[in-house]
Amino acid sequence: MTKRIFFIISLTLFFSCEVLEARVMRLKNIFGSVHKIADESSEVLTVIACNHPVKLLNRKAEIGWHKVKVGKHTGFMHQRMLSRRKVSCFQDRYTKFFEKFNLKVEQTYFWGKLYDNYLVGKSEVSSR
Amino acid sequence: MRFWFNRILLFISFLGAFAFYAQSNTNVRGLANTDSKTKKPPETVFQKQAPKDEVLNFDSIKEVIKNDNLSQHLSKTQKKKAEAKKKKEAGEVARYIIPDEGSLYRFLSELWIIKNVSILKWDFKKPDYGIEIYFKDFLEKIGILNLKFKILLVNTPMVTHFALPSNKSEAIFLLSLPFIRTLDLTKLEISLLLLEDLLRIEADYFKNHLVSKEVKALLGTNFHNNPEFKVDPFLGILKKYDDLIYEKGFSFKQQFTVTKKMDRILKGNLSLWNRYYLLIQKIKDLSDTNYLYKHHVKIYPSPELQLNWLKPTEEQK
Repeated sequence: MTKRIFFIISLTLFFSCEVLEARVMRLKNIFGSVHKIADESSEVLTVIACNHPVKLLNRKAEIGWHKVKVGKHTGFMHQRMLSRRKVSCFQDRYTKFFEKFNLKVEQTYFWGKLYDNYLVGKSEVSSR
Repeated sequence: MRFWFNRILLFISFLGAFAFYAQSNTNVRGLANTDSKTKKPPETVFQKQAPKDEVLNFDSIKEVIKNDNLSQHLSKTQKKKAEAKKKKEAGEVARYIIPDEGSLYRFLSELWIIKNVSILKWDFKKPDYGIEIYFKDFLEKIGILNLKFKILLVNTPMVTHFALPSNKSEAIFLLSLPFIRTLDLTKLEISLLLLEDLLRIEADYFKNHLVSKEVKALLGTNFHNNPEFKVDPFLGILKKYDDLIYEKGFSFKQQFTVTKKMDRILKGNLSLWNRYYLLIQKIKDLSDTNYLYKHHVKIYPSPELQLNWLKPTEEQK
């Protein structure tokens, strides 16, 4: 019995450490690019679609960028593009409609880059 | 001495118990082995009741099943299965929904930007002017709140400044970097230009130009039962984007309404109003003198008239 309890405790500890070490976030936008370095104009390693999970390698974003691991690629993504929860994506809500547009690879690439190039903001009551 | 005697006694009794346990276990195992080797497995109740050749009569056990609530369990399971199937089918049908007006425009505007990347040249390294921070404060200052905005700097004089329709409480702005540099615009002047664009979006001038009756009828519907559905009408909308942004622009009437609205918004703060007036003067001079920006008057007619509309009338004086 003692052995069993010990085993369960160590297993829980192991998994909680794993979760703390690598948190998973998801892409908020239609497409998003993973960059080689933390810069919008740097080389794009891969483009991912909305809700694709990315593994966070640094828990706190540095100057608005997160170091992430996506598949075999390790790169950087804008903090503002990632969400902790699963999001409602356009291509998931209107799957067949979206598919009808037959986007080309270069279009998905530029769609990912578009979100890097936007200057975004929101006027709010609280910040006045 | 007594202590050691007790200990030895305990040890012997423990050994005895262990030996007894081991013996009983081997007996059981032995019995089990002989059973499996020599004896056949015992017959079940059903095997006893029904010989091999005889077909089992379910009517005879109907009562038993009824008492066991098996029929109720069966109907419950079937109901659950039917519900799951219905849900799955509904999910499949939902995949064919055409977006409604609230979620279509961001997609179309961004698709148009992607398709026009070679003309707009927005994918370039740009300096950090902090325009978005200033514009946010500006909007809050004049009381436009809860507005999400995206500004895309473009590296062409083809489009000087423009707001594209997006989802509810959201706007996408295009802003030409060469235009800002040529006019040497301040952040305040840029914000005034963007505000003007925002008013055009709020007045739905763009949307009214884009959507035909055919498209309007399709919005929010489902094409699950229409295998021949094509997105051509929606691609047609993108051509209308081209038409409005590069060629047609806005009408005099629309410009008058926007200018008058700007006038009303800014009149409360005279320094802002003066800056707006001077900004239009600047744009007028540029479009008069610089060949690259001649088309600006075609898209936003006309700075000269705008100045006249802004000038206080004799009565106001």
